[in-house]
Amino acid sequence: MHTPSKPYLLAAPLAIFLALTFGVSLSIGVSGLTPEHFYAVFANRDFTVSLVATLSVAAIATLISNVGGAVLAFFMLKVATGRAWVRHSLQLPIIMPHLVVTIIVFHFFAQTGIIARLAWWAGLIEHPNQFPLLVFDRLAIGIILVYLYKQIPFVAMVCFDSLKSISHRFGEAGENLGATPWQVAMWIYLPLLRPTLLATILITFAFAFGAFEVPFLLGTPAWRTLPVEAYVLYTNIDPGARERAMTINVTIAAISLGLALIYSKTERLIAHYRADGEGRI
Amino acid sequence: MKLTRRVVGLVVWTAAVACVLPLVSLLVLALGRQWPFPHLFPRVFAVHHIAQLLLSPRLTEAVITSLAIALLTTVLTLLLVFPAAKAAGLYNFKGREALKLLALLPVMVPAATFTMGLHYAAIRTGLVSTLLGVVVIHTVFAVPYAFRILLHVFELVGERHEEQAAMLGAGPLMVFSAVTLPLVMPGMITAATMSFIISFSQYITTFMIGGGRFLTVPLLLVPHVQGGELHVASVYSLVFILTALLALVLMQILVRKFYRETYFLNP
Repeated sequence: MHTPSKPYLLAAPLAIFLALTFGVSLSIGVSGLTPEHFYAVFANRDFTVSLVATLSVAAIATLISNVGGAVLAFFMLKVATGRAWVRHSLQLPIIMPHLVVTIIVFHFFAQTGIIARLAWWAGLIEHPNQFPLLVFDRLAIGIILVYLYKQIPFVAMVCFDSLKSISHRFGEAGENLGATPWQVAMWIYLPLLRPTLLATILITFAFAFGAFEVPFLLGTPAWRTLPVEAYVLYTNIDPGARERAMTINVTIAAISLGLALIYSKTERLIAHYRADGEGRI
Repeated sequence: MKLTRRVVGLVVWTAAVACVLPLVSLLVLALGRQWPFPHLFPRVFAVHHIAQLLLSPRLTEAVITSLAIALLTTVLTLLLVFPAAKAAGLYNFKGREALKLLALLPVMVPAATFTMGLHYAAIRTGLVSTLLGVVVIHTVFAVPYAFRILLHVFELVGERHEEQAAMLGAGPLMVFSAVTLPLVMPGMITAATMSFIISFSQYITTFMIGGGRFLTVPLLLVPHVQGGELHVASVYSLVFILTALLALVLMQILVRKFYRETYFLNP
């Protein structure tokens, strides 16, 4: 038994620490901002381009990494259960820092990179200039490649663990009733995996949306992602630049808080779907 | 059917190789010299360039600073998260969901955005360019991972063992050191590992709050990436990855050793 105040005393240090840092960060960020600042920033064409581009890059990276990761998890379950080296290899991208991945993507996909050299050997190009621009490019392919390398294995590992924790009785019941492996995957395991996927979708999207280093280092000069745009404005000495930076930051924070709220709702869904020892859900 | 199985195996195998390939290419990049287009492999492999880079005092400084900050961050994170995760994992109280949401925020709110807000406050309070300021901002981003891991552990372990020990007459300190700590130790190791890695890979937070006073490995690395000096960058990257891995392995061995000697248990 415990006294009613015990959990509050235990939770207080962390709660105060987070509330203080976030409170200060937010209040300083918002202070001095008026609705006019927001109108001005939203009316700016550079901001609209940044917003749409940042959301698109995050959406594309999220879509590919979650579809790819989920498919990989299903495949792993089919062939590689217990194969330690596959799981260890998939853990490598998860611990690899983004900065290092950025270097590797540059090394492979630059116009003089490994892929371009392979294209030269295959006789597809004669000069590095003929190789398509895949880093510092307007379509942000280099940036997305970094996210994919980090996130496909992440989604695959999370989904793999989740699939293992879902009772195999569901699949067996389906097979006994004559379902093909494809039907078992699509109609039994995918719906059960949905809450997990929702969580990984939110996490991967939030990261790709808010990342700084990757677009800072691999981005095109033509447009900037929102966090990079905010940083460039923040370090700009022009009058009003700091307010514009903070307006963008508040916008980013509002989108992130929305994602966090949705995430905390899906958490409960996941707990609901997790199979217990009896194989019930 | 057999063909499908083969295709599935091939996909998994390819994915696993694709995950490892970059590390191999990083090694080739670090060891190779004179590697003009269109050669697929460097024309010369040399070690002495690496030795020169490794012996530079700036790298030593960066590694020591990174390790010190990461260790302090790990300690602060665990001190804050351990009791809070216990509360959220074991007890039902008003505000538990709010606590969980609060501990999740740093994953969702981008580091750059958060740091810009805090930077201004840090200048006013004098926290900018201090070790404490850097450790605090790293801790903010390590908290969600450590919290989630320990929360899960406390949910699994429950409170029964502690209650039994207390019933048998153990004092609070005894219960903590002889029952709670050994039970959650595996989770503590994982949480510490995550906190360490997160602190070790921070760039923009250290750059802004550190105010240029703290040279960590990422801060050393970025200018070389910007300048396109892939050779130097790859050597520093390898040091980056190896230092983090070594520190983690060492930490795990030490904790396991302590664990075994003190409790005669195999975790």
